Amino acid sequence: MVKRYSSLDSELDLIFGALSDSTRRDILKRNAKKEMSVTDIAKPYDLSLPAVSKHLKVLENAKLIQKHRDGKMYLVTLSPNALMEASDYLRSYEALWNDRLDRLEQYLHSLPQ
Amino acid sequence: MAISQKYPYTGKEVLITRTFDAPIEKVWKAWTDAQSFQKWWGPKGSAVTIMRFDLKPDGMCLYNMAAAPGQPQLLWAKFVYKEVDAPNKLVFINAFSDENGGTTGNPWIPVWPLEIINELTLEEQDGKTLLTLRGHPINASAEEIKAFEGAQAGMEQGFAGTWEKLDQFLAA
Repeated sequence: MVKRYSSLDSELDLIFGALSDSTRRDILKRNAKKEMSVTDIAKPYDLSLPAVSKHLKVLENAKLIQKHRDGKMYLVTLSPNALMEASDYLRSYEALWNDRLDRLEQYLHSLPQ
Repeated sequence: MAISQKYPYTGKEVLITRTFDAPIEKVWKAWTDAQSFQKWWGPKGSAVTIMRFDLKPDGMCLYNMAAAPGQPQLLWAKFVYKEVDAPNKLVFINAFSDENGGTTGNPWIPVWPLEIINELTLEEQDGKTLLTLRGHPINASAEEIKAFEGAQAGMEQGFAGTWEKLDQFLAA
């Protein structure tokens, strides 16, 4: 699902909003290690399945996780790489270029004289 | 002619300079040889695959990027070269794209200029190479230009620490 927001700030609000809740941070942390079903994710919490689904929706909207269907189950995976690439852009466009030039420098160093 | 004259823009442009301890030909090749370019362009650990590479004015470099070798592609993007003047100057438009090279929006930032023109100049100084990069949006709306300006240095101070913490958190 692609959502459009009115500004860059809204996008940041979504990400930081998603990370402002301890249950959602815990979900991300557990999910970082492996793909999990929604039921597995819900297990340790004293929360209803719809409440957990709501948390997942917030994480999904912030593009921190991806959900896909496997038969009857929904499986959830983290999108850390997408997140890190996004973080390059969000942090600063200049920082993105500085990172690129750092890699160019390392590449040039790796070449034979 | 400077890109600011050819592609008029009154907002804040990106200007980055860096001196590389390498002769100018090597730096030029890193940008203009497909095999060399794909070795360093993507984020650390990522896998960049160049699908098209046509180094001439209006020629296209089309590539995709995966989080790691063997992983699904996260994005497609392209360079459209405007000036190729070896080994001193490369002007190109950078944009996200679909797999056919059609221009698309930034996958993470809804309001972001579709196209950014970049002017790369290289100057040799005592066996070292001074790289200067200037870039700014073209054909962008006022709102997109605002987002671009907002994403420059000013934001970094506020968010860098947060992102570092997030990276550490996710790695734990």
